[in-house]
Amino acid sequence: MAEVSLRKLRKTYGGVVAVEGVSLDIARGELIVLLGPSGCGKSTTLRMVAGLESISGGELFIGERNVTQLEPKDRDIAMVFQNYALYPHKTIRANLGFGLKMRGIDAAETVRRVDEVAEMLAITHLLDRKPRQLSGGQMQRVALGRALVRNPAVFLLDEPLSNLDAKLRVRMREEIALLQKRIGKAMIYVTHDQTEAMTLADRIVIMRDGHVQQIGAPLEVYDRPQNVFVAGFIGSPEMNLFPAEIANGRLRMGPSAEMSLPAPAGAPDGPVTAGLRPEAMHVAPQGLPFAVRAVEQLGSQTLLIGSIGDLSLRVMEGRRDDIRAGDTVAVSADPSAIHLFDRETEQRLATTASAAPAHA
Amino acid sequence: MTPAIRRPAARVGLYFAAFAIALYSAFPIYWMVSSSLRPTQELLLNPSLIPSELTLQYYYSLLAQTDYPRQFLNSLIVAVATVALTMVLSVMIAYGVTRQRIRGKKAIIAGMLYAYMFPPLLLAIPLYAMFTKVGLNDTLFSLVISHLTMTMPLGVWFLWGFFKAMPFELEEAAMVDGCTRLGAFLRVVLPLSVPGLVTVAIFAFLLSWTDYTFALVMIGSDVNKTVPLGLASMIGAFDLRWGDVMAGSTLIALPLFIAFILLSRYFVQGLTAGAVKG
Ligand SMILES: Nc1ncnc2c1ncn2[C@@H]1O[C@H](COP(=O)(O)OP(=O)(O)OP(=O)(O)O)[C@@H](O)[C@H]1O
Ligand SMILES: [Mg+2]
Repeated sequence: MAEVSLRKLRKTYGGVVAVEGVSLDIARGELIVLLGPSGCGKSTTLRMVAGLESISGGELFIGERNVTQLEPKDRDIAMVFQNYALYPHKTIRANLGFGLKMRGIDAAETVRRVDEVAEMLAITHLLDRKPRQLSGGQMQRVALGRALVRNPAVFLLDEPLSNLDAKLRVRMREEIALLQKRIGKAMIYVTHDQTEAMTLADRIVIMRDGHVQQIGAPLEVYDRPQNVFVAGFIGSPEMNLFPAEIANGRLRMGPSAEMSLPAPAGAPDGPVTAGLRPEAMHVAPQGLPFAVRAVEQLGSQTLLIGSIGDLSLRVMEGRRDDIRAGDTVAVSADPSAIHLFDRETEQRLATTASAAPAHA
Repeated sequence: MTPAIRRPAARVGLYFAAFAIALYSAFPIYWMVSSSLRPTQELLLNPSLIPSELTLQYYYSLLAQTDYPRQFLNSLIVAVATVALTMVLSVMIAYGVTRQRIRGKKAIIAGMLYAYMFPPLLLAIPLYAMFTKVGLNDTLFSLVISHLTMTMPLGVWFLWGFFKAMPFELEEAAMVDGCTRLGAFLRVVLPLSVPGLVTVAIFAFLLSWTDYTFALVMIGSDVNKTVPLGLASMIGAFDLRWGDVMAGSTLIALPLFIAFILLSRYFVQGLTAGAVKG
């Protein structure tokens, strides 16, 4: 039985469609990440689940109940806002306890639960302060705590880490993942950062212009992106996407016949959009001539930016100290790592050698 | 702070200027209070800076022999009613225009400010005609309504800035936490708006309490006169009793002083918040 069930949720503002037909079943203990570029309708979807945005069409179930028409307070949800939205006039303790107080939980029990959550998030020493006396990271913890303390059926988080610096973001990300596993409740997490999505999610929902593009586990969407948009959005650095032609079992990347790679088995002949992840290409003794334009050292890896013929590409190598901008190196790619998409519909083309992980 | 202000000479200059301004604005008040306490002889013939002798005789005569207590009560009723109505109405309107999608809300705000720019006398006369029509002329209630024409635009405009600066997420968080829309407003928005509310209340009280123009037009009978009107007619009467007038003026100022002292913390906060965020 799904803990949360979105059935063809739809949101329109006037005549403008912001979210169209989002359907999703979320199991208890599952962490769902809504991922997509700015304006794709992630927040709107989340806010419809929260009840902060009215639902224009479709139905929403939480537990057994149809909550489509219910007020936020009656939905058994808790939400963490991007700007934390802590009550400035209340102490941290009162902030954490507010939701319990509103639900008529008695004072002793409130104190017990607030203390427990404060302990869990290591914010016990902050309980008597006001929000403005906290750092961004501490406010973030309090905001999480305010959701945790209520022990709702679903946690909703809208870009909760976007106001933190890079280091803290990674730490809080890990912490959220651990907390979520520990409490075992459903969570919907909105972000536009694909790394956050990949590292946190049990399943990722990738959205664009209000439409769901693909739903799947992180490696599933990474290995088998359903369309060009998902292929380009998931993975960092971005997948190389380029127009190509399949003929005689070769993937032709340019005008001359030499500019080609072996095509994946079972690929139909004709024009396609091909995708190759930088990490699926490598410098090899033999291969296509790759003119290196720039070299980015990432530490354990080296990113080569350059081109084959007219085609700009990125190639991710293990650490290499010996390649300089201006060099030309030979690169090749495993045919099974090539993603093929229909040039017109941009949908994934089936091949017998699907771009699956290399291991057996 | 600019660096210049840290230099001792500049600092002394600044303090001197502040002191001079304070003295300049406080002296008339001091003169009013001290005049209300000196004997008549001294007041009229050779007023010294510091009264040689203090007396409460004017206060006695004012309170015992004139309509002053009645007028004071009238003023109080009108001012309190004006403040209460201003608060309720301007909070509702200001919150409505900030948080609801209302057609032409810019026009509402602009219209109210426009009304505020009219000189009171220009409004008072047509208002008086209207009150006469509905039989409300020469009542305290008509005065309250007239005062609202001044206080409401100010209140709405000020609170509008206040509510606008408040992130809507706060109310959303409260609603998720278990409040109704109204509950979120009462428990989160209002407490956070206290400085603004206090500022509006003080301004409304001040405008109503010191109003002379509207009272002059609206009120005819002695029983309904407010203090400014009463004092003015005292000056016009056969003998000019400065002491009584000064005592009456001091009493007018008293509630304002008290309000400012008690609420100055919020008041200053409210003014700056409105200025910066609004
Ligand atoms: N109140 C509104 N009135 C009209 N259109 C709106 C309103 N709120 C959102 N939209 C539109 O709905 C679409 C989805 O917005 P939404 O806030 O869900 O995007 P998002 O995916 O959360 O983007 P971001 O990453 O920038 O937060 C956008 O095109 C936006 O312009
Ligand atoms: Mg958003």
